[in-house]
Amino acid sequence: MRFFRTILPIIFCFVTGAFACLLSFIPHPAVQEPTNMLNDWAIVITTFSVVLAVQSFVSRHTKSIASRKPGWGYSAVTMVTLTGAAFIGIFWGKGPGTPMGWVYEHMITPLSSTVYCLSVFFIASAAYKAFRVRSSGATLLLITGLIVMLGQIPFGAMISGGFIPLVKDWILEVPNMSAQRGILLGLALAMFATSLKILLGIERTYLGKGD
Amino acid sequence: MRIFMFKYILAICGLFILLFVSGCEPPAKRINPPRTGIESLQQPQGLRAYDSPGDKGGSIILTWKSVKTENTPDFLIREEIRRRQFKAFISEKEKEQIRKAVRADYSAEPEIDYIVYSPKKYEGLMKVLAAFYSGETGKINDGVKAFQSSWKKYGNTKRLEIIISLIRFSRDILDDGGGPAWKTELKKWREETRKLGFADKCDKLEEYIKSNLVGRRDVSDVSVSLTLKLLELARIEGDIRGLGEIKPSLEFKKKPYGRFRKGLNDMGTRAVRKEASALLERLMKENRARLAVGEDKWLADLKSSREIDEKTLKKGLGPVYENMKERFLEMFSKSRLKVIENIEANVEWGLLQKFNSSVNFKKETPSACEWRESGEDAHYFQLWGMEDGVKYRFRVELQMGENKINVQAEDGGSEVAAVPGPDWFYAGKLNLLIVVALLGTIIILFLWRAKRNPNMFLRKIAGLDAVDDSIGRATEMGRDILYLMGNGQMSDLPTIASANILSRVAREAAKHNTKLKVPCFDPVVMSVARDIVKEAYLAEGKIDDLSNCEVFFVSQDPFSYAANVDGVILRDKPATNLMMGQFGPEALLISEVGASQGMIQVSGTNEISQLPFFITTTDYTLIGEELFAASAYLSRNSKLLGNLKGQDAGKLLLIIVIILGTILSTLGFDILVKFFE
Repeated sequence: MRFFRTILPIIFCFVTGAFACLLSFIPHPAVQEPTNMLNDWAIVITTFSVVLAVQSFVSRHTKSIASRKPGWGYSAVTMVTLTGAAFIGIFWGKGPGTPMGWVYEHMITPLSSTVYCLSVFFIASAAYKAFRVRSSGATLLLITGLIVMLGQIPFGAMISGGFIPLVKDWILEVPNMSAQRGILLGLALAMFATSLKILLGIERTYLGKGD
Repeated sequence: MRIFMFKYILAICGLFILLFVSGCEPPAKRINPPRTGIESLQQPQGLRAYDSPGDKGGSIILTWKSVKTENTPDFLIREEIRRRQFKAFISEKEKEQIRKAVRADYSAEPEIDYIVYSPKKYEGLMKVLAAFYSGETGKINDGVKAFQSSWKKYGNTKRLEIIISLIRFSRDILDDGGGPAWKTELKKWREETRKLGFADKCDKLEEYIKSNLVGRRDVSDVSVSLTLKLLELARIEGDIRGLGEIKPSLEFKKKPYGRFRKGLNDMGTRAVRKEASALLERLMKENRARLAVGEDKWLADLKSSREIDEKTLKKGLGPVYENMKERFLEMFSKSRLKVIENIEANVEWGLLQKFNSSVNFKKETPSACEWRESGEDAHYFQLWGMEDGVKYRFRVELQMGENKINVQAEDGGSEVAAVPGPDWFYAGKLNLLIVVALLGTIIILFLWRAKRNPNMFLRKIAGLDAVDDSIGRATEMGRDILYLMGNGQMSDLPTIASANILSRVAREAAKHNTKLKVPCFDPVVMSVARDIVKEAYLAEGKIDDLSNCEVFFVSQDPFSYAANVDGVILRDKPATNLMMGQFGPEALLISEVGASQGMIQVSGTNEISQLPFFITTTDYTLIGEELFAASAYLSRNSKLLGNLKGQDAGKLLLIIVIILGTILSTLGFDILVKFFE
């Protein structure tokens, strides 16, 4: 049992991981062909996972409706839309000009846009929190933020004779870029180390096995 | 541990063995071979020599055709393989060497179809024509100077100036290209005025240009204007030549003019100019022909061969040219060029790419072209989707208006051939392999060290300390823990890192009987998360309480996902929100709602664009690499700690390399820059 739950996945992980690593160094078709096959497998597995998703989705919302949990009405709406969308899609197909196309264009897109527009208010709220002068660091952040914001708009250039946009560019291109690159370098190294420990079977937590 | 070491060493050794067995060349020589192993064509320095025509609308055209290898003679394949690397643009010095070689032994140059002999006196004019023909308009001035110096003692200076101006105007028209309809219009005009005399021809042309060409979109205004000026000068020149009315402004005197006319007749200048002009026209039309400038020695050789009679030579150059053409065509009929033409007769050239010759290869890299600074400045053309084992031929042309000129290859030819074959090692990634091996070795060494000394010091990460605190807080308040794994898939490393943290969180939740909710973005991630949570509950001996934990799928649309999670936050009011993984636009939509509900929030992501939102809206943020350190930090497992320490050592090494690289680059040594390119 331990073999199937722990050792086999680790072996499988090492073999496929090492193979994938080799792939990036070997452009020969003899090696690239199996890669395409593995990619096809991944697509097939992903397709099957949709069944899991629907099962989880339906199970959760039907339970919510059945037990009259707070907000069960939303679950009911969700179930109706799921069934309706599936019905329309199966019988009339999808794409522009179909009922599903209409649903996409006149329901899904406006709803997504509405949720996305909330970001504007949230960004304002987050900016307020960030710019509250509570410490020297926050003061520095406030000043930097003001310069960058003024530099982005014509007003900034107007009041400073073009100086603020120059400072903004410098802030974005020098201190900001260097910090970002520092984070990226650390990330790359961390990803490499994580891959290595997964490949070698040192990290098994994702298998649920812990240490 | 030994097994890990063995596996690791085995993998690294395998890669290096593969590298050496495949016999790959260092990257400097075989830069960036494509995935299918196609040879890259090299187009090194000298392109700037053509920048000037390019700025005026010239284009570079890459064309190609395939040749079935089995039909090509072996000797030809061997030779072509030897010169696979195509050097399209060469230095002026190299060009001169090639020209000298052609002049010295014309029989070795199979692509010369027409050769004009020129005595020393006309060398200047020949140079001008050669510059016209080869597209090296920058060299026309040199030719004009030579022309000027050789003619000064024979003719009227004023007329010389007019002729020089005519040449320069012609050059400018050639540079300009004339526009899409220029060539057709020129042809039409020639047909219409074929039987007219010179003066009538000029009048008719002027009338034609003014009524038909001025203001047209498909004809260049510059060329029209230049042609009108050229006509004016040609009229003056024609007047002088035909003893017609002399323009008062030129103030020619009869005596020197008479001497000049005599000189012209004696030298057969008109014949030369007529034939040279006709030749130039033909060469321009046929694109592939070359012009060789003859020398006295060569003439002597020709005379001694008695293949051209001296009488013809004395008459003028036109007949000589005709005779020589036949002779050379006969000579070349047996050459290798003929063999190539026969084999490829039915295969048409296909266009690979066309772009302005003024393109900046570094900034505006055309899709089929890659620019590298290593070694000599070079442009590399990388081709995709070609069939292995089939021979392909390539050529580069320069186009100006309707005229096209083939660019010389390294060996002076106009084409280059290559046979694609698959590679066993991607030589362009050799530097990556070395870095991977080095960093991997460092990490393995630290793993080894961690085994001997498990109590290694680890710097404090506040965000990870807060994970335990936040779980404790949720337990004390009797509320849920919300754990979000982001929008990544299971193949993404941040999602794997998040799964590792989830395992710890689930164990803690199981231990304290705290409810855990994991809304998932991806069904596969949901499936894995369910297994992780189940294993954690099993490990804590609380499998009966698994119902406390809810792992469910929400949506694969970020905004629907955010809306649902926000609903969970507002309705169920969890005490803790842990957001670990890869996040997109939904990050702020969720974390800000969490903040408004007073939840303790810990976030961690690799997405730099989302980090500012997390930092401002959540209590603790794991920035970049800290997300990946979580597993080791929380478990304090010696192997994982060793890995983490190795990672830190790798980071130290990178910092040293960056500082060293900066110093070396400042001092002018770009060895490190080249290594990482």
